[in-house]
Amino acid sequence: MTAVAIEAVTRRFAGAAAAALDGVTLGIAAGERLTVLGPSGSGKTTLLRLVAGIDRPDSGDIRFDGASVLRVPAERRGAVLAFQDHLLFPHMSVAANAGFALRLRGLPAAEIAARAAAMLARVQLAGFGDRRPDGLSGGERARVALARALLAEPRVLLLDEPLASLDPDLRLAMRALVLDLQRETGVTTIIVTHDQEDAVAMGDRIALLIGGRLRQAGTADDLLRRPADAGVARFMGGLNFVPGRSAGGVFDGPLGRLALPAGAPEGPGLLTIRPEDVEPGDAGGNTVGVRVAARQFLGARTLVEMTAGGARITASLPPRMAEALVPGATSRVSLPRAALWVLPPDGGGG
Amino acid sequence: MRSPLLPVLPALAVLALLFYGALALSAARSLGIPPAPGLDFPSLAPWRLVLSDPAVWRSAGLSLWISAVSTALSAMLAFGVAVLIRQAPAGRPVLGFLLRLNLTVPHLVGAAGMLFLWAQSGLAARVALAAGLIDGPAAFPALIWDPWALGIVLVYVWKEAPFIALILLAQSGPADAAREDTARTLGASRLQVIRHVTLPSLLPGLAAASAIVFAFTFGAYEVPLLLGASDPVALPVLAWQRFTDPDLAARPQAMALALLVALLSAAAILVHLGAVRRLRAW
Amino acid sequence: MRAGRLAAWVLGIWLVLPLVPVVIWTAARGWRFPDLLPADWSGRAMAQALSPSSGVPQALFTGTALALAVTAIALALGIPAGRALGLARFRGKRAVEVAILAPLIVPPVAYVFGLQALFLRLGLAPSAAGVALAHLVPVLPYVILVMAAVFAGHDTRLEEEARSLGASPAQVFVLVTLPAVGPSAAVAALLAFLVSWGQYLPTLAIGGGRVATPPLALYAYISSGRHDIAAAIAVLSLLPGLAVIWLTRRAFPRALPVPP
Repeated sequence: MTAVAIEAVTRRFAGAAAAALDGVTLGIAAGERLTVLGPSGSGKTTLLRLVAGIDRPDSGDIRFDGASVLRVPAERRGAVLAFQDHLLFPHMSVAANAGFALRLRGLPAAEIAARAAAMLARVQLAGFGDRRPDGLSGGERARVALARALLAEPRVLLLDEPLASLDPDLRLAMRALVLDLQRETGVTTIIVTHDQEDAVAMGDRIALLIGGRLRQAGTADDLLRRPADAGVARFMGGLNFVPGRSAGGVFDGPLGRLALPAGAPEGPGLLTIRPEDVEPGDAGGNTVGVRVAARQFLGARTLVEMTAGGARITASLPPRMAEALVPGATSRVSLPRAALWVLPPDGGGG
Repeated sequence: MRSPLLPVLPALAVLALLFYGALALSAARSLGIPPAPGLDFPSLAPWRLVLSDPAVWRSAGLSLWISAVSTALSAMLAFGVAVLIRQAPAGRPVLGFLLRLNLTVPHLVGAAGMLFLWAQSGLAARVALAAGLIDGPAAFPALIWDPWALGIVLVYVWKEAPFIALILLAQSGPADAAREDTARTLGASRLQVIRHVTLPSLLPGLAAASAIVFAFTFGAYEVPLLLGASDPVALPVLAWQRFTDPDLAARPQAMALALLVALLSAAAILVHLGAVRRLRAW
Repeated sequence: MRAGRLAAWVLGIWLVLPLVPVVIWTAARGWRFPDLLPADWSGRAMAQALSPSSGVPQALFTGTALALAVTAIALALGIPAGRALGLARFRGKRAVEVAILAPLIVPPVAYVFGLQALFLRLGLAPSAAGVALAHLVPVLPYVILVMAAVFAGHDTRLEEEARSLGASPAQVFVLVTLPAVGPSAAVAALLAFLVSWGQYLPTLAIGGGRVATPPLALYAYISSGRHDIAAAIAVLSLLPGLAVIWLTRRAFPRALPVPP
């Protein structure tokens, strides 16, 4: 169980306009599961490579259990990196792939075989030992890669988009498998993903990287309901941003005066609320009169776009509850106080 | 329904005539068809003469030696170069340029350069003399026109190692680098990475390219012509000597020798194809 | 990686080393043993090489003309063939590929004798036309296999898309296929030129000594001891290669196979 500290790490690649990573500081507790979330090109994979030791930061430090590992070469760091494409060694059998790290250490063949077989069974690939990588499906390859990484008994487990190349039905199973194994072994794990749902499901905490900068790190709820700025909110799927002014616990803007939760920052800002927190009717408090502009049926939810006082509000409702909200109709919605949050005015991150 | 083969036919026809036809004609002539002076028609006599001629065996042995050593050295060097360039991106543009320059140099030019460099009166000898390492041209080791064909091997290695290296580099993709990184994080030292990941990934390409180099160095003519000793001569040179021998009876033997070279090349092609099939796994 | 840098330097020097005395000889006015450098520098060697009395300009011209002709024929026959091989799947395709590969791998000495006998009958030997045909043997398969690889990697859906947008077959070829495949084809053509340029035995055997190309001239002058003129010819022989490198400096497709 190793704690990882990433301190003011910067990495710039030659010829690139912006830094791949810019002053990123992040702490991961021993045994914690951290997901690093961000759009492609945000530096997530670079961060993993720096922690693994196959790349070096231009400045900053990386510490395992308090000791800097910058001078420690990748093969001795104990930070195992599993790539997105689950790159198995084509010339080795599944069992040989899985037991690779043990073979490097010179363990006796019988022990390697036994432990590989046990781990393969653990990832539901019992009996696959003698097969070759090229005959495996994507899901099977992903599980072999996972087994291979875990058999190395890593201090830190680094997974780069572990679910990206899997079909939707496999993703849930793979997600569950990763979570189970992590809980069993307790290994500190950093998972990189661009998928918000995966990040929320797999991480104790989420670190959001956009454009090489760490925008916010916290629980899923922190990022969803208390985003640091509009950019974070937008990335997390937020759709409601209403400009106005916050003073003394009240937000004043095109929607009228709305009661804010305690601790909301003062001054000009952007009011935000998650689409799924907007409630139809009067019951939630902070009611606003709206006119329905558009409606989009998405299967499990219905998105309802509404206007009020020149501002737009989008609600995400169970389809039943949206039946009455036809375009052109007027209605009332509640913006519950606890679900409101005030962001810095736009231009502060985006 | 037009066969998809149609556009290939003109090219195939040309090759059928110029290459396979020529081979067939060589085969016929090597069997004495049409009859050469002093032979029954058809006859295995030219083949018997060739296969029982000690000069032929000496030449064949020399050519095999040249090919084996050149191919082995080129392959090893090419592997090293490929690993070097993959792992050390700095200076890659310059090295890449030099490698490609090497490709465009005709073999004879390379041979001429080696001659000027390594002959006993060549540049290296003069440098050695100036440095006091030797006291006269005769003291410089004979690398050209020597019985071990060192000069020939040097030229082939100089040209073919870059050839193989470029083929290896062309086959490497980002997935190979990622596999090497994976192995490193799993605890493999640099040597272990080369042994467990790099070498197995390059081996099929190495084998395929080496087969080509082997066939090429066995049958090439101009380099042994320029740099080879006069006895024994490489097999292609011997074949040409028989072919241009004023005694026309030697000509069928030349044809037989040519076919020997063709047969060995066919074996090399089979090895090459087998190695290419293994390549597909990567 | 210190060892890596050292190795890179050693490699670089080793690659250039044999060319050094060649270049020195070209500019030398007498370079006797044991001098490290020529006693006198002069452009005489190159001047002599370039004068018609040496036979070198004729050789240069012949070599260039031959290579151009061979490349042109190889492209005309080879591009359609390569395209068919690269795009189509048909039974016996493997066999056809092997049949085309063989002339590339089999050395000239194996077929040149039979070819000469054949051309004698057809009146093509000794002649420049016969030599051109002889050069086709290694060059044509090279062009075919390269173009097959290029087309195999080419997504034909691009053409299908263009046609569904209303382009005629001619427009599709000019606006879609050519730009996509052209650069690789150009590189293949340049390398094909070099293959013909460096041929020795086929030119000697089919040309009967009457068709002079730079490699033949080079050998003649070395074996008669004129190292300076031979070096000048060698330097001139390098020029097409340098031109090819410069022309392909930006577009050297990674997967392009090269001749040994």
